[in-house]
Formats: sequence, structure tokens, C-alpha cells
Amino acid sequence: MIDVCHLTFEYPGHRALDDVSFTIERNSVTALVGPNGSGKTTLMRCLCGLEQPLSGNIVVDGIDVVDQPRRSHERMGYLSDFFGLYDELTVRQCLRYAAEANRASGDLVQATKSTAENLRLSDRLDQRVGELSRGLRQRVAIAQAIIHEPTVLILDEPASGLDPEARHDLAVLFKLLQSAGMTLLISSHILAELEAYASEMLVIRGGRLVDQQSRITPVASTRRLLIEVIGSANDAAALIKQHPEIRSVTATNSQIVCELAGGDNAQHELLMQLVQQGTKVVNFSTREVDLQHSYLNTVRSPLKT
Amino acid sequence: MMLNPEFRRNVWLEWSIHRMALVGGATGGILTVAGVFTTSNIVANVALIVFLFATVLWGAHRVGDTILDELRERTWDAQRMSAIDPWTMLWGKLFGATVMPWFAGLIALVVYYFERHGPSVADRLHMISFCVAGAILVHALSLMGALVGTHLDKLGKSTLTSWASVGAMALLAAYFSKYIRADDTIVWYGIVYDRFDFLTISVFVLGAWITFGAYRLMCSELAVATLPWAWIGFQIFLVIYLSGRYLSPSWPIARSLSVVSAAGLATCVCSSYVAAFALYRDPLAFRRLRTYFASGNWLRFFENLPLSIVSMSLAVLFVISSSGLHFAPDYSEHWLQHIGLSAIVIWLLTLRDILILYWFTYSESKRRVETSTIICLAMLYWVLPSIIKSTGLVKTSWLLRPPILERPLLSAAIVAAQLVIVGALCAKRYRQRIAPIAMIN
Repeated sequence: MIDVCHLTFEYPGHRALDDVSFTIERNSVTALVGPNGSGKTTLMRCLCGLEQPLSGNIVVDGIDVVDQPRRSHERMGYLSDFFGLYDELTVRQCLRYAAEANRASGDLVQATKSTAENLRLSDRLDQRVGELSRGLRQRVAIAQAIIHEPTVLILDEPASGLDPEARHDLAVLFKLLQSAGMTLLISSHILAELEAYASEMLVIRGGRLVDQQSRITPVASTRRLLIEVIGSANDAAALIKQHPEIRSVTATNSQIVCELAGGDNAQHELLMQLVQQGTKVVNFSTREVDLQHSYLNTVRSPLKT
Repeated sequence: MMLNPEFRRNVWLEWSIHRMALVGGATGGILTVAGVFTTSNIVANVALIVFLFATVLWGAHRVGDTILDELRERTWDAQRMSAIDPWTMLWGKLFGATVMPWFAGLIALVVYYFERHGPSVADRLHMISFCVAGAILVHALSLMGALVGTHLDKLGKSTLTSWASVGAMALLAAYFSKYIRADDTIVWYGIVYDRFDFLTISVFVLGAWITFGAYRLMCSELAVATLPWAWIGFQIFLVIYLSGRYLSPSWPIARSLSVVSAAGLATCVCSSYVAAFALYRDPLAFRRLRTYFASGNWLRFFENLPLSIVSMSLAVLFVISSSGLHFAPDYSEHWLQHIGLSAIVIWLLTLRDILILYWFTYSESKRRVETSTIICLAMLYWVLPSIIKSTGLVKTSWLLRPPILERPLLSAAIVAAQLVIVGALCAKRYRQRIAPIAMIN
């Protein structure tokens, strides 16, 4: 759905995106993560055709964004990190304008109504946007971005400033949009939240793509273990490292997180080994590979030159 | 048929019964008071003044603000990504944002029509069409200014730019005003025209060009790639328009060509300065051009070519013709008709000045680039040469202000040397500030 090939973007004196290439599958929800200033927003703006890259190709839904930005806009919805709304208009007027401006197909009144329902804005249609709370404004902005039913939705920090309930609603909405056939690319600093709906992760750092991984397809034979012991974890960690099926070990205070290749037998052997060596194990459980862990592993690793 | 969504949105924002009553009441009130204390013809004149203030000035402000508001409220990106085409967006803003000023203006024009006694119906309609065309011209100019301002760092510059456009228009109007006052004729390409007819047609044609220019800027904002042929076309139009004021059919061909070359050079040089100073100077423009050139992407290359370079390239044609005509037999003593080899110096000086502007553009501080350049140019053209000259070192002052008309070849050599120095400084700063690639983190 989105193919980016050797994308390079420069600001005077520095390169914001350096030879970035990746592919995003149709109907996926991809988290775009990276430290502040890593180039996430620039990348999103390039994908939307709002910035002209120095070189490289971007193809969205079969359309070359660099050569035909206007055509690609018809397939895209975009919510910038600092989005704006027409405060003097009512929610209905805002949605009607967005529908007309983006040439939404079919009955525009119906499109306005159904989008408002999806975003739980039906009872706010005649209220001025300037009178709405932050969470409701966010919903109006998203409604404007999706009213023309784009195939690709690009959202820059959509959950910033929202309360937990609104964030939960947003996660539900994104799953709904995905099930309706949309491809979503979402940047956020709140990784725990991305975990609720993202199936893919792009990690960008210093303008370079340092990792692209699928969270829903972990290596089948690897499992992640959380081991808690009484006392220092360092001795136990040293012991664990000796196990032939262990791939990585991280110890902090009394906790150890390790990657174990192999199945239940290997896990059982490891536990037996620890107990036999006198390690006071109080917790020995498997953990899913979470986004936070993956992300931190990636961004803490040295940048390849 | 679907109404222009941008026009409708602006009407939603601008139009209300309350405002309509307020604006209509104020306009009607002023004209009624004028009617009570003065004669009909004076009321008609007051109506034209009301039109000038309400429609032309207030309207220009509203049009400029419609872009500024988008930037201020961060809705401009959404507009740029919308499916609204540039022309629809342009007229939606041009007439949607000015719906109230036009409402007031309409009342004023109706009053003018009925209260003006003396001129025929055709003459009154002539005046009304002139006013309407003039207002659209100024609004389009204001929109152009605001669109140029979108690339400037400070939002306030957008308003400044639009008002600067209105100021420029006021100067133009002051120039044309003598045609309104003088009830006689004007000669253009040897044909005699009624001055007011000529002025009205000029305003219509210029208004069409300015509106088209605003459309092209809107294209650029809405990611519709364009080649610079409209800019070239506008300059050719100006050359033809301006030459008509000076040319006479009875002149020999070489003399006529000299005037056309001089007018062409003047137009292109002025256009180069306007394009370089007023339009957005993307610091990475030349890096992009180099990339497109290297990859043989000529379409992108010409789409991204700065308009100042286009004007300078076009000026080369007039430099060649002027230089060639220097040796023509029909040599006139009037300096405008024998710019000759001085054209080379004028072209080199323009290039030097634009390079100085880019030298400031590439500096670490992006602030006051234009002001710094203007001060620098004032030093080079007037202050330093005058100081040197006042000490009696006349020939030394030529190093800064060469005798362009008297000794064109020597002047060309001096300015070429200056150009080499400025070019080297500019290239050095470009390498230091723009070319080196450093990662953000």
C-alpha cells in the first residue's frame, strides 16, 4: 500500500531523512516511533506530498506521491500533530466542508451523519467547534480526515493531550477503521497505547529507518521470559547465559528478562537449572514481546553508519 | 451543481444577518447623511469613496487575512491536501472572504448609478465596470501577497505582504489617476485612444494577469506543478505594453528595436529583483536543481527554477539585441534608445545584486535578509562611491559605481570582477551552510 524507496529530505545544513526505504502492507496499522526530532513528522509530511523530498520515490496505493501529489491526496487522510479547525463553524459545517473539499462520494449528508456516529459526535453536530473540549476537537479533526473514506490514514501524534477514556475510544476507532479496510500509519510517543492497535512498527532515528518489524509475527521458536529472584539478579543472569538456548539476557535489580529459543522443555530445563543452583526464584513467566521493549532495544543499539 | 465549498465556507464565516444589517446600515447611513447635506453628484462621489474604502481596501485586507487565518488556525495543510482545485480555491477565497465588502460596495455602486447626473448610462456603467475591475485587481494582488507570505517565517509578514501589495497598487493608481483627471487622449503604438477607455482596458487586462498570477501561486501551494511560461508571458506582455507608450510607427526599425530592447531589459531586470526579493527563496533550491539536473529530470528542473533566474535568462535576449543595435546605423542620441553595450553592465549589476541577496539568505540568521541586502546595495551604489568621490578620487569611485553609459566596456569589466568576488563569497557560504550534510541526532 505504501512503498517508500531511498527517500532523502534535507533542511538547510542537515539531512532530516536519509535514504529511507520501507513498505507498508495494505490494511495494516503501523506505528511510527522514534525520538524527538528523528524525522517522523517530516516523513509523514513527505508521504502526504506536503514536502518535496530531495530524492527518492513514494508510492501510495499505486500513485507516485512526488509526481502526482494531488491524485494521491484523494486516497489519503492526514491529521497533523498541531491540527487546526475552524472554530467559528459548527461540527456539521466542518464535516460538510471536509466532505465537499475532499470530494466524498455518495450522499454528503449521510456521510456527515455516519462519520459523526462513528466518532460519537452525533449530539454535537450543531455545536461550534470552538466550544468543544480537546478530546472532542480531536475527534472532529479525525472525522474530517476520514469523511471521504481514504484508503490510507496518516496520523501524527493523534492521542496527545487526550484523557485515558478518549485514548481508549481512539484505539477502538482505529481498529474499526482497519476492519473497514483502511491502512493506518500512526506516530506516537505513547507506546503502550500503540500496542493496543499497531500490528507493525517502524523505528526511525536520526533520519534513518533503523528497524521495521511485525509485532504480530514473532519468531515462532523464541519466547521471552521474565524471571524475578530474591537478591541480586546478576549471579542468576550469569547462570542463565550459560544455557545453550538463551539468545539474550537483561538484568535489572532483581529482575531478569531473557529470550529463550526452544519450547516448553527448554523452559522447564532452565527453571530446574536455576533452582538446582540455589537461585531463589519467585517468578518465572513468559511475556509477550511488547512494543516498548522492542523500541528501546532498537533505539539503544548503536546507529550503523 | 455543487457550490464552491471554499466559497460557501467563507460565506458561513463572513455572512450573518447581524453583520448584514450592520454593514448595510452603516453604508446606507453615510450615503443618506451625504444626501441630506449635499447635491446628488456629490453623493455619487461619496458613493465612489465608500466603494474605495469598503470594497477595495477592506476587501483587500479580508482577502489577505483569509490566508493568514488558515496559517494561524493551522488549517492550511488540510486545504493543501484537499481535492479543491487551485482555480476553485482562488475564486472561493477571492469572493467568499470579501462577501461583506462587496455587499457594501454594491450598495455604493447602486447609489452612484442613480445619483450621478450628467454622464450617460453607458458612461456610468463604464465607471462602475472600472471600479469593479480595479477592486478585483487589488484583491487578487493582496491574495498574491498573502500567498507569497505563506513561506515567510513570521505569520505577520503575510499581512504585511498583502498590505504592501495594496500599497503598490495605490502607487499604480496614483500614476493612473492623471488619466482620470485629464479629459484627453493617449497615444499607444501611434494610435490615439480616450484616456479613460485606455485606463479601463489596462485595468481589466492587468487584473486578468494579476488574477492569473494569483492562480499560479495557488497552484504552487496546492502541489500543482507548473512551468514558468506564465511568468515569461507576463514579462513579454509588459514589454509590449510599455513599448507602446514610446514607439512611433514612423520610426526606423532599428530605433524601434532599441526602445523595445531597452523596455525589455528594464522589465526583465525589475522582474528579477521583484522575484528575488519578494518570492520565497528556498535555500535548497539549487541543491534540488542540481539533483534534477544530474538525474536528467528536466521537467522537475524547470518547475523548480527560481523565477529570478527565468527573468535573468530572458534579459539575456534583450542584452544581446541592445548590444547588437549599438552598431546599427540609426543611432539616436536619447539614452533610452541607445543603451547599447551598457545593457551588459546593467545585467551584470543585477546578477551581482541577486547574489548579494543570496549571500544574506545563506547566513545563519534568517532575519532581515532583505533589509540587510538593501542597506548593502545602498552602500555600494550611493554612500561609498559618493564618499570616495567627495575626496577627489573620481576614478577610484568607479570601482564601486562605474560609468555605465559613458564607458560601458570598462564598467562591464569592473562589475564582472565584483561579480567574481561576490560569487566566490556566496559559493563559500553555500558550502558552509547549505551543502554539508549533518544528521539531526
